[in-house]
Amino acid sequence: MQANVGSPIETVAASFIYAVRYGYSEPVINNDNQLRIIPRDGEGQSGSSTEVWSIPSGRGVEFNDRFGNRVHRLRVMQPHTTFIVAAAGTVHLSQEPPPRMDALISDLADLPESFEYTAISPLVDPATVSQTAFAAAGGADSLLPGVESVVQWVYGNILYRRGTTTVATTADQVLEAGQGVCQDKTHLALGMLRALKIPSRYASGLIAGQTGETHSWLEFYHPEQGWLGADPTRGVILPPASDYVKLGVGRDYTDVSPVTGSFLSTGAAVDVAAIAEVRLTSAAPTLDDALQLLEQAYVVHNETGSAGYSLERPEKDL
Amino acid sequence: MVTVSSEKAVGFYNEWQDDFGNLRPQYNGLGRSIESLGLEDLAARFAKAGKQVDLDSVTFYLDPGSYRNMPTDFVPRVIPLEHWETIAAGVEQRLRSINRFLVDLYAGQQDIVPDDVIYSSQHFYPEVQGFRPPKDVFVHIYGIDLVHLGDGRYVVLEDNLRIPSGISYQLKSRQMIEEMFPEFSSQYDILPYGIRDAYLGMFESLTDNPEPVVVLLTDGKYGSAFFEHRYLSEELDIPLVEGPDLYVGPDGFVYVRTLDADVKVDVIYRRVEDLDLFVPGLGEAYLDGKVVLVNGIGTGAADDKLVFLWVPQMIERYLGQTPVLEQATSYNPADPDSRRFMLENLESLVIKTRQGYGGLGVFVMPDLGEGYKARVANNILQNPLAFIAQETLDFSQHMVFNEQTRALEPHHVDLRVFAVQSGDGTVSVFPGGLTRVAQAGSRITNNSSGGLCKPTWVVR
Repeated sequence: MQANVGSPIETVAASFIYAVRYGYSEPVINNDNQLRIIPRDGEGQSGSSTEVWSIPSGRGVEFNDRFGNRVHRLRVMQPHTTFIVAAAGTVHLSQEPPPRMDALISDLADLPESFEYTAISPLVDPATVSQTAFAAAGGADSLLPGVESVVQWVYGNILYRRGTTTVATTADQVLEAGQGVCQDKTHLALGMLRALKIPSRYASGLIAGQTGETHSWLEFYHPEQGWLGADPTRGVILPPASDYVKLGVGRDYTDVSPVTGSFLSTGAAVDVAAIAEVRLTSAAPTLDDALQLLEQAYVVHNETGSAGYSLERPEKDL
Repeated sequence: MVTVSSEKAVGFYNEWQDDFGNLRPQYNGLGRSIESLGLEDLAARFAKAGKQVDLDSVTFYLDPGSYRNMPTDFVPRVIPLEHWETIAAGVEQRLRSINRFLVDLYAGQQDIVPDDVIYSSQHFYPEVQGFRPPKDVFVHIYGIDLVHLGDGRYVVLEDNLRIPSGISYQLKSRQMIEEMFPEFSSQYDILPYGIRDAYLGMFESLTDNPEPVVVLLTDGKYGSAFFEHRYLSEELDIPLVEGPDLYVGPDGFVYVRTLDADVKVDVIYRRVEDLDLFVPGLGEAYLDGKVVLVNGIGTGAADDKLVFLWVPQMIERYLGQTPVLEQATSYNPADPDSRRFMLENLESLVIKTRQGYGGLGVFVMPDLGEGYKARVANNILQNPLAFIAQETLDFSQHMVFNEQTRALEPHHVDLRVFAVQSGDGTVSVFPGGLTRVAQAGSRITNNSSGGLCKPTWVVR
């Protein structure tokens, strides 16, 4: 997929940790999750060496999903009221080459990426933000200026504010509210790019030098160079690769959510704490490092709780 | 002569009569019986039989605890033996291949179904990896949904590999028709539908205990198929137990509490899905080889509606045979080319939700208005992993007696055939099956969509 031109400008080693803890109001009988918490291979990332743990431990299997993300499917069969998942390891990051400026949006029309990545997805309906997209891009027919104007429009017009949106907020709701966090800005920018028929996808991951939450940004498709990054939260196209560790890509957040699954319990998930860290060092962190880091995580209390009582109808219908 | 409502009858193969209104040969006997009985008497008998269904609590609940009887139409379906021989061969072939696939999936290697499809399935259980069930049987009891396109051409729509239900309704309706309409069955040489020996033999084949203790684990009287659980427990003479009746002992074996003593259980015919919710530790006891479960854990990975697409390859790989039964041509929307095809041909396809239950998640696009198209297309685009598409089949109709109008009316019918696979390598396919009848004008036969059931005979 990736058609990098020329050799990478530089390669740096980075270590990373991602850890999350769930607390439940009643014992969980089993907990079945798909984890997208290890660095992706490709597009400027290589040589990832990662370990994944859970407490309690479970049985698992690894596979690549349809976007090429490495997924750990993990099922815990031991009753528990606290569930911890952690990944830690190292990865090599290399800078993407400068984009060729002569690409036209119309060059993208017949590519397979256009079919998948300009369509509606659960949180991004391009039709609902197309007027804003056309107003921002002013009928651009070159790819780079088109992307630039969308990214700058979102950067300049959507206020960064926490606590006003959820993981289920859609692109048009972000536009209406005029505010949100990185996920929201990314969704709105994706909707606008797709309205302009520029194939674009959601990237989730971590930022170097920061300890805290996960980050999200976007990638757009270049006809010669493949997927290239842009970050509407920071207002940059082609940010330095060494700043980012990418865990997953997809059409929007619903495809790359770090932990998705279901658990069987009469109770609910009442608090969640997640933390991520990237350092520019080649020393590999351990599970203890991850657990120590998790102590610093901000705990989100969920009073209503997310119900996980997923008792199936035992008999199929007749 | 029997009156036939001609509405909607045109264009579909009718099993009862040909396009000129002549009874097909296997229905001559029945036609004569109905004629000599007269429609008034037939209506009276239907009313009486319907009352018996209520008295016997023949139910299939949709919502837990809400009473709903299993509506039955007593005009039987008659399948000629030569049709049946093809069906039975195809069902056996499919059951054996799917079982081999499950053994490879969990205890070996499989490369037939793509990783992302099988490992993301909510019915794939990672904890079963490395486990081989007793005698390598994962699927002991199999239910397969077929439709008849006419002239003996039967096509597979779905496999049911977890807890296939419905066999008791077939047994009960056959029993009732023999008691209440004796002149119908006396016209025919009907293949017996005895399940007792095959079930008990299967249970015995799975354990070393020559007199195994077998129980039927139910989710209780508020569960949807409690009638069936009760019926089978009586038919097979095995105790009907609920979760609290069982426990896993300190030695890891499973025990049933009885008035006298706690007795070690060899085989659990389980009719619940979430085992550990009903009996803590049961899943682990099974994986430790301390008890046999019928069906095994993890069989649902192969009855995911999407995995259906690869069953013909399983038959070719494991048996080196071409499939005896065709299956409905199906499309995987996660594949971009298939998705494009689906969106371009939406008006001619059936869209099914992958994890959905019942007819509520089935959209027969040719039978729906134009307004549905955009909605379904949007759903497919947004969640391509949640659906599959199948070609729309013009499958057969049969006659349903309308007690109000005193007429026989054509309705679409399908056929759920049941088979049992034993530890000694034998497969028994029970001759006949549960015929499910759609509401007039609909092609959706699920009971939750208002369907009826019909006694079904295979005749020599």
